[in-house]
Order: sequence, then C-alpha cells, then structure tokens
Amino acid sequence: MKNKEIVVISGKGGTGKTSVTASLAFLAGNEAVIADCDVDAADMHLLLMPDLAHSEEFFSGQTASINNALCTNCGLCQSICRFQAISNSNDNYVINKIDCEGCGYCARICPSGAIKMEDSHTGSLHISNSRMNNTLVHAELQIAAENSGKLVTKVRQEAKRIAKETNTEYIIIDGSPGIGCPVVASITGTSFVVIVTEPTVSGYHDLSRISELVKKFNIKMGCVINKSDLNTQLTYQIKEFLISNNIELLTELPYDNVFTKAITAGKTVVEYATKSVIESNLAKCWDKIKIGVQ
Amino acid sequence: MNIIFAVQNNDGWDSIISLKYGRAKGFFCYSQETDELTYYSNEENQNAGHGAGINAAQIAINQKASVVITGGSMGPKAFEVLNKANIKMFTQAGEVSVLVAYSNFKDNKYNQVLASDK
Amino acid sequence: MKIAIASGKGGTGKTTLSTNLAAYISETISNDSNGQVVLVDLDVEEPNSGLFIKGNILKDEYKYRATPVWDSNKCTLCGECKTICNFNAIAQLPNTILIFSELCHSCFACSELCPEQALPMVDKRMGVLKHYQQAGNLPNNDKLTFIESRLDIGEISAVPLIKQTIEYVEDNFSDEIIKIFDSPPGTSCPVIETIKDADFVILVTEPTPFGLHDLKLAVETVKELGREFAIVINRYGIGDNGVEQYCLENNIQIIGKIPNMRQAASLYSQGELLYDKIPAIKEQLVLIYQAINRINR
Repeated sequence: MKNKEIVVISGKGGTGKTSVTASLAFLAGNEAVIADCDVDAADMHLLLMPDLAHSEEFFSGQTASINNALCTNCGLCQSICRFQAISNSNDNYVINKIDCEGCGYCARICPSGAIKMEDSHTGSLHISNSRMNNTLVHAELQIAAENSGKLVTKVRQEAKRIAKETNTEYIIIDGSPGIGCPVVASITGTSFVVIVTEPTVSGYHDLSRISELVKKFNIKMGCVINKSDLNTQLTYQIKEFLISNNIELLTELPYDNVFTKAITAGKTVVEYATKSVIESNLAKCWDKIKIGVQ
Repeated sequence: MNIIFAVQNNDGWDSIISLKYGRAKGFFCYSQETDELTYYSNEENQNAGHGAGINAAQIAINQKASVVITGGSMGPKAFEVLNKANIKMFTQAGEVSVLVAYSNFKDNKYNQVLASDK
Repeated sequence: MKIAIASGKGGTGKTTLSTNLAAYISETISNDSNGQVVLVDLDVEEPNSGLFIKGNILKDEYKYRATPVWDSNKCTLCGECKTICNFNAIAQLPNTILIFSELCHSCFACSELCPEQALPMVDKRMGVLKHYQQAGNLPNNDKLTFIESRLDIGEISAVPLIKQTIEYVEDNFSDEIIKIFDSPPGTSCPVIETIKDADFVILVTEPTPFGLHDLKLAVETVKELGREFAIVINRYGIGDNGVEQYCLENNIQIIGKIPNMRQAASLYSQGELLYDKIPAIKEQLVLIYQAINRINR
C-alpha cells in the first residue's frame, strides 16, 4: 500500500497550523505516522507527549577549528575569511563557531596545517510513541544552526520508513513555516498540502505566496480558514481566491479562545471541545483530506 | 561501457539498489570491458546540506560512465549534471539486487528518463 | 541604537509590536536632530510590516551577492575548484565546469585558489531593498523611515541580504537614531544575523505552553550572543501564567503586557495599527518605550 503523505503548512506563523495538525493526529490515531518538520520551533510534542523511545544526533555541514599549538599567528586565515568568523585575542586566533560558514577556505590555506574541519552537530532526531496511539518523528535544530531542510528531509524519511514497516496508511506532517528550503523539503513528494490561513491582510498575503510555491510542485491543495469570523470580508475574499486557484476549502474554524484553553490544558481542540462545531468541522476536514488524497 | 548502480550496501552483485541517488550509501561501477565491479563509497555526501546529487553525479562522471541506474527518482540537480555529461539515466528500478538490475537493463526493461522525475 | 524584536515562535506578534512601537515612538520623540525612528523589516522571506506601515518610496535597489562564473578560455579543467568547493556547487564534466550558483555561499575559495584565475566572481541578484520616507499614520511625518528587504524566491540563504540591509541602515543613519529590527521567527541563522549586534532585544511571546517552550529557546539564543534583552507578553490574558513564572524564576524583565482583545485582532486583520485606537495598548507602548530609554548603550 502506498503511503499517503499529507503536509500542513501556513506561510506565516500563528495561524493555528500546529493546533490543526495535532487535531488531525488525534483523529487519525493509529491510521497515521506523525512527522513534526517544524524543526526550528518544534511544538507538536507538547500535545502528543512523546516518550522519546529512540534518539539520534544529526550532523550537517562543517565548522573550522584552530589548533593553537600549531598556529604561528600569521593571520592568513583571518585575511581570507569572508564571514568575519576568525578573530584574534591575546595572540590567539580563534574561530567563532556561530559565524563560521564551513567553507573550509582557511583550513585549505593554513601554512602550518593548524586548522581542521569537523562535522557540525546541527540537531537531534527522535522517534517516539505518542499518547495518541501513533508514532511521532520529531527533531530540533541547534541554536544558530543552518536550517537547510536536510533535517526536515531526515524526519520525513524516518516517518516514511516507519509507515512502510508498520503498514500505516497515512503520514501527517507538521510543515515548516516560510517559503524557503525547509518548506520545500516539507512539501516535496507529498500527496496533499493543507494550508492553514486566517482572514487578515498578513494571512491573505502569505496564502498567495505559499500557494504559488506549492503550485510549482503540482500537488493537490486544501485550505483551512481559521478565525474565519474575525473579518468576514477577508474570509469572503479568501474563498474567492481558493475557487479561482483550484484549492479545496476544507473547513472554517471560528475565532475562539477554546483553542488556547485546549493547548493550556495539554489537549488538542477536538479532545477539549467535544460535541462542538469546531470538533465536527475538524472531523469533516479529516474526512475530506482522506478522500482528497486517494 | 561503464555502468553505475546506486546501492544501499556493499555486497557485490547481491547489493540492493538504492531508492535515493544523491544520498545513496555507495555506487558500484561495472565495466563491461573488464568485467570488474568496483565500489565507491558515498559517505561524504551523507552530511551535505545541499547538492548531494551534484557530487554523486560527479562520481559517475569521474568513472566515465555511460549509464546510471537508480531505484527511485532522480533529483533535478543530479539530472542536470548527468544530462550535460551525456550520461543516460534509468530510474525507478526498485530495490532489487545489482545482478537483477543489470539483467533487467540488458533486457531493455528500464526506460531512460529524459527529465528529472522528482 | 539598534533594538531587535524577535521571538522563538512565529505568530506571537513581532510585526505587530515592531510596527506599532516604531510609529508610536516617531510621534512621541523629541524634535532634535536625533528625532527619528527607522523601522527595518528583516524577515526577508516574508516581510509583512509593509502591510501596516506605508510611506513614500525614496529608493528601490537590487541587492547582490558574489558567485563565480566559468571562464572557459582560461580553464585547464584541472578540477581543483570542484575539490575546493565544500557546498557541492561545482561539477566537473569532461569539457565543462558547471556552477550551481544557488548553492554557492560566496566564500571566494574557488575563485581565489584557481591556478588559472578562470573563476572570476560576479554579482548575482538575491533580493530587493526598499527605502520609504514619511512612513506611518500621521501625514508628513518626517520622523519615521521604513526599510524593507525581500529575498528573491529560490534563494537559499536569507543571511547575506539581512547583513547587507543592516549595513545599508548603518551607512545611512547615525548610531544614536533608534532603529527597530523586525526579525524573522525562530532561532536559526537569519535570526542570529539580525540580533547579534543589537543593543537590545525584545522577545515577544504569548502566555501559552507553546509560547513558553519557544521563548526558552529564544532566551538561550540571546544569552549565547550576550545580548541585553527583555520580554513583552502579547495577547496577555489568554493561556496561563507559565511565562510570567518562568521570567520570575529566571530574573527576566517583562517590560510590556499587551492585552488580548478581539478589537485588536480585528484591526490587525485589516492592516491597521492599534495604539492610536486602543488606549490600553498605547499604555503598554509607553512602558516599553520607557524601558528602552533606560538602556545604557
């Protein structure tokens, strides 16, 4: 059975992407493997309570380091570094690891061979059992790490492998924000993209940017309009936009502080607001996604 | 001619073809002239942030390969490099052994890709 | 004086605070020669401040980064460049050198180490910087300038554009002038570039478990960079008091608590500033501005 990968993205932050994804994870239960690809600010674990059954360190790119015993203080490295990553204090040349880009130029030209390139520890990846009877693959980037999308790709690969091994039908991905490489790595090869938006000028602006990006990948799109009663005029404009761009309107959710109450209670909104319009709308949304992804 | 197989392990003709090209664990180069099967590790590409496909394609170029066979899709960068080097690409071979893949290739069971299929 | 407004999590209200604070300060600041505020949108992948702050465009310039091009006449196909490049941006074909400029980090190594000087560096466009004058709500307000940079789609790194935008601001405005940097979300390289030389960092958060979790990452980041910082809690009143507890326990100053109000959300949704219509929010900006003035440079 081919695994069906569904990714939830939003362009801008704060639209409710993680709340929606966590609700879908709850509704799917053991029908899905969950992947948290928002590695710069991973939050899914706060609602899914993973047990961190398996963890591994992740390396990407390199960083230079100077062996002061071999260094003759010629300063050549500092003169060629384009990233101002080499400084001199008390006659000791030192690499600033945060600024070092890992190009290796300094290591290559050091006349005394005092500079070495080492693989950079960029983050950690975990495979956990969640409290929702499914597996959560999640990761976090180290501070100041380059978010190239490689860790995102690794999270997705692991989720895919697990789904295959356990014969699980769906993979639900909490995608990265923005429009750069991490988002591309979240989207590529998926069967359905869910865009969570809000009826604000920022939300609408970022919806059009992100949908342009997804169009290039030729993947089916659906949209959840969160806080839809906040600005009825903009909600109407967004719906028009969805129609003209062949994006399915999956559901609308009201502006309601029950979302925050749920998070604060450590629950997804479908668990917290049972028998509510929000719960039934999200349940219908999951059904539509399952149909859309066939 | 020389043929490159992207593989998941180093086990001679029994090695399993890799679904990934750029980040395959290694490559076997088979020379039809000398009947030699040589392994090239792709270790250094496991760590690359971007451009693993470019570097992996370079291995095929360095071995003067005419054909590359991989188990899954071929990414756009690897495709661009191999295409410009006039190396024929055969993708979606699946996770079969190198022996089976070579046999399938000789029986014309694989289609050459003319555009990146990722 | 450079004030960076950042957050671990996206959507906490960085842009809301940056735009409202910049506009408020520009209306309040004294009339002397330093009476100016510069708002800089450094969320170059998704700059949104321009939806709330309009002005008259003064300058519109492309920004470039250096990448190598192949001079086939000089090249001997030795392959050194391919070996040198640590980012897989160079491939060596039998008769060609192929350069993938989108992967190039502009380190200059291949260009400077090529024995034949066959890889000169040229400028490649990466984004656009726009400089607006007389920005903000008040007509003919000469005190607010707005600078926005936007990264071209397909560009891999935001860092060079952020760096050049900051340089532009430093070149055009003296040190004493208040500059407010609207940062990208998160704690990765673009954020580091934005805040690493800031005189003061304001971390915006929401009082929820998500907000607290990401705030801790942001605090770790500013501490690692040795920046002076304080917290502003946005949508104060929702969630729980976890953030306040955390700040108390860690001796972190909270310099503003912007109340959760549907009216604010509604105005924001329309692209409007908030402080001139909601006194409770203006009160908080007064406090935040006072805190800024107390900072010793």
